[in-house]
Amino acid sequence: MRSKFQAWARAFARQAEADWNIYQQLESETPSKPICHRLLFLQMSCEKLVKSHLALGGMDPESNKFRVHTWIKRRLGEILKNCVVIPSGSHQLQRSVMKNFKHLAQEIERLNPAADDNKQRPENCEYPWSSGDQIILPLEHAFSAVDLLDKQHGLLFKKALKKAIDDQVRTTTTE
Amino acid sequence: MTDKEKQAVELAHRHYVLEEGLEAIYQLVPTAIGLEGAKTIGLLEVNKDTIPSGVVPLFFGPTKTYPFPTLIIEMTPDEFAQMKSGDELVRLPPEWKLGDVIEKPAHAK
Repeated sequence: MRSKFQAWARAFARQAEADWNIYQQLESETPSKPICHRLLFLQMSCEKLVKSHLALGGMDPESNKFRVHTWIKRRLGEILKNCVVIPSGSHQLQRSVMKNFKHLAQEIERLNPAADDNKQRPENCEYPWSSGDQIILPLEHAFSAVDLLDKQHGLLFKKALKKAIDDQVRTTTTE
Repeated sequence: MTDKEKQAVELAHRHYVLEEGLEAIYQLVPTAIGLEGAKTIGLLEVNKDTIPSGVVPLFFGPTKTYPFPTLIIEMTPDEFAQMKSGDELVRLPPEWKLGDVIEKPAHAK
C-alpha cells in the first residue's frame, strides 16, 4: 500500500512542478496573458503539491476525502513552514511571514470554483459568476491574490513554494 | 529614463519599503543570448530575511500598475558574496548579468 501512495505522491509532485512551470511561463510573457489564467496554474500547482504531501502521509488518493478542493488553506502553510527557515530571522519575522503565507494560501484556494465558502466568495479563475444583476467574468476581475503576491513576503512565498515543489519531487523520486 | 527603467526603479523603491531586510537591489541586464529579456525587468535582491536556496528566478507578470513582466532573483547576503566570488553554485542564468545597484530611497531607510 505504501508504494502505491508513494507513486501517487510522486505523480502529484511532478504535476505540481509542471503546473508551476506553466504559471511562470505565463507570468513572463508579453503581451501579457489574462491574470485569471496565470492564477489558475498557480492554484493548480499549490493543490497538487498539497495532495502529494497528503498521499505521502498515507491518505488514499482515491478516497472522497482526498478529492475535495479545500486542502490548500489547511495544509499549504504547514508545508511551506518547513521551507522557510530564515537564518537571520527573529521569531517576530517568522510569525509575520507565516501569517502572510496563510492568508495567501486562503486566497489561492478561493481561486478554485469549488471553494466558494458556501457561495459567500463566488469569484474564481474559471467560471463567470453573478453579483447582483451583473455577470462577472474571471477575465475582467481584479483578484486579491495578485495584490498579496506583490506585497510583503509575496516574493518569499513564491520562492518557498518553488522550493517546496522541488523538494517534494526529489523526495518522492528518491524514496 | 525609459518607461521600463522607471518601472524598475519604482518597483525597487517599493520593495525597499516593504522588506526591511533588503540590503541592496541590483538591476539585471540581459546578455546577448537573453534577447527575450529585453522585454522583461530583471532585479537581483539581496535580502537578509530570506531563505538560502541558490539562484531561483521568479517571474511576476504584468499588472495595470506595472506593465512590464519582472524577473526577480533573491539571495541572502552570503549567497551574494558567493556569487561575486565566482562560486559556480550561485551563478546567474546565462541570459542575465549584474547591472547597477538601485539605491535605497531616503524614505525607506
